[in-house]
Amino acid sequence: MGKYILRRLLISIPTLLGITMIIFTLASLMPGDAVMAMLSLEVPNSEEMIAIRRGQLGLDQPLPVQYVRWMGQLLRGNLGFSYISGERISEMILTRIPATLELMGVSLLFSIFIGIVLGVLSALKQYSWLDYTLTILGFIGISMPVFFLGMIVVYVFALNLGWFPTSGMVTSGEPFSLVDNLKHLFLPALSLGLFRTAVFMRYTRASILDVLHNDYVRTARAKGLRESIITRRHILRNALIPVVTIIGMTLPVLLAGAVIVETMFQWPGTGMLYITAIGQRDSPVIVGMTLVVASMVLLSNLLTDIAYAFLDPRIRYE
Amino acid sequence: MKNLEVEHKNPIAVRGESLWLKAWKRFRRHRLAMFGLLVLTTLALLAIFAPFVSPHSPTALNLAHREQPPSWEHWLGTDRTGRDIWARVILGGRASLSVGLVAVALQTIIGVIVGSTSGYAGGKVDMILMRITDMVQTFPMLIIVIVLVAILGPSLYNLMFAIGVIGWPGMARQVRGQFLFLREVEFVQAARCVGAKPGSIIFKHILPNTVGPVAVAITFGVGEAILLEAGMSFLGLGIQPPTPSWGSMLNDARTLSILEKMPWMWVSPGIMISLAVLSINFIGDGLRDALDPRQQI
Repeated sequence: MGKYILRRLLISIPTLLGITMIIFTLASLMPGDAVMAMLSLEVPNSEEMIAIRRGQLGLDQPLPVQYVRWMGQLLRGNLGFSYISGERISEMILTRIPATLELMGVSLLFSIFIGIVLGVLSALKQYSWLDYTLTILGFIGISMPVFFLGMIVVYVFALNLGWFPTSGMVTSGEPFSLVDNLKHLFLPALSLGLFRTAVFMRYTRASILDVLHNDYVRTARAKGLRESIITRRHILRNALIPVVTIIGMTLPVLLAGAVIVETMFQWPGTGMLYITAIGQRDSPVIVGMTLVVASMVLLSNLLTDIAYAFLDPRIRYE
Repeated sequence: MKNLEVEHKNPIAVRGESLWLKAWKRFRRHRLAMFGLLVLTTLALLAIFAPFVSPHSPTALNLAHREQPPSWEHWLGTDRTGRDIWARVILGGRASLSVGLVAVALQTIIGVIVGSTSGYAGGKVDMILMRITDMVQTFPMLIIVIVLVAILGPSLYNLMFAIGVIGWPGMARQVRGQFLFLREVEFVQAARCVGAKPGSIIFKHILPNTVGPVAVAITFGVGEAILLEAGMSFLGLGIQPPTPSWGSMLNDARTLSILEKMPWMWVSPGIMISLAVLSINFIGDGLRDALDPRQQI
């Protein structure tokens, strides 16, 4: 097991390096640079001034040299500074991560739970009206854009029924309370979670139907085991292993969804930070965020592989 | 089981059928897929012939008729500047469907080239190409498409390009898997034994056999690209006004007052996106069932 994890870790190092190169290249292609951003505040801007400043910041060096220097800073945890506010980017991101994690975590937990339960029901009652209904609903769930769903839930639950607030993370002006926070969380988490619920449901259903016709299930039945024991021990245990992969593969999609949902609901997380930075053409923040997101995805892939090896002993000995 | 009986009763008629005809017959039995095909064809025809299907212009402002609910005059109502929503919604299909098709065409070209090279060559070439594929796949699509559009500027063509050059890893993996499998299959070994050149093995013997899975991947890819386009336009980073697109129509309707009091402005474009993607997903499901060679009639 330890060997497997180590090998898996080593493989991800070149990938991570490649990712930093891609991001650095994209960053250098982005319009505007630090000098232009700073100089816009100082008048007048002569060509010489710009050249001198570029030299001071090392922006006149060839790209590979700049890349190595940038990596050096990166390894020390320095992601640079925002063009707009001058804040440290690592701090800007760190202060907003808890909000995003809360939103993503809650919606992910609910979609895993509901998705798996519905998927199991659907598969065990294959070809029943419940199965058909859930299948159609699942299709609708994966076809609906997250922002359209968001608008519908705001229209119904916030504007007409008045059960939940339309945006924000807490009611402004009031002291923080968990109930208030959860009330604000409900609609964005619901919009973010529906797509995933549908995916988990469809996947669980397919996975169980695969296992259902295996020889060992027939053997268990032939031995005269009770149906409930067969379902729990033989079917569910084996069928849910592949579902773990899908849960791991979910993170990128959730992050992308969070960008749109956070913008819609004014949820002050990293997604909103990203869209604001895009609007202000604040490239260091865009680059920093892209890097953090890519690393998180890489990490979640790694954890998925490890969890998979843990659950399915056959993988380790390959 | 029912199909087996048919075959028994009429063995001669079945024997002469090509694989494609068999696949089409299986596809036709998939009711959801046929529904999807019908809806998608309708949406595409409406988009193509938009100017002839709507009595109003999609871009002409008419402040006297602004913010009107659906009526005989304006079937789906009008927006804040008095533009006819029906005219905009059917024309908006052009942007979404064309982004979907062009972006996925680009994905398919890159994916098939990378996948077949990787799968046929194997060894170091395969290793390097797959690591690159890993890297591209590490970025969530929306995040990296936003970066590319920030560099290139928001426009219909840049969006097609961005979704195309980012979205190919899934296709490449699919094709690579097929190549790894087919490379060892008897008829390919036989071709190699009689001295067929690599080019002829790749193009004549292996590639045609990957058409099924690639067609399925293309279908689901188009749905994904349409959702991405809609998301980008919703964020204001996609198709720019005055060209209507479903996502940007929803973006126009984001204020709470419109959301609450004028739902006709956002419900119809929202339904159009969902309907288009739903139809495509139905078709993809039907294709997967129909083209799976293990599913014999």
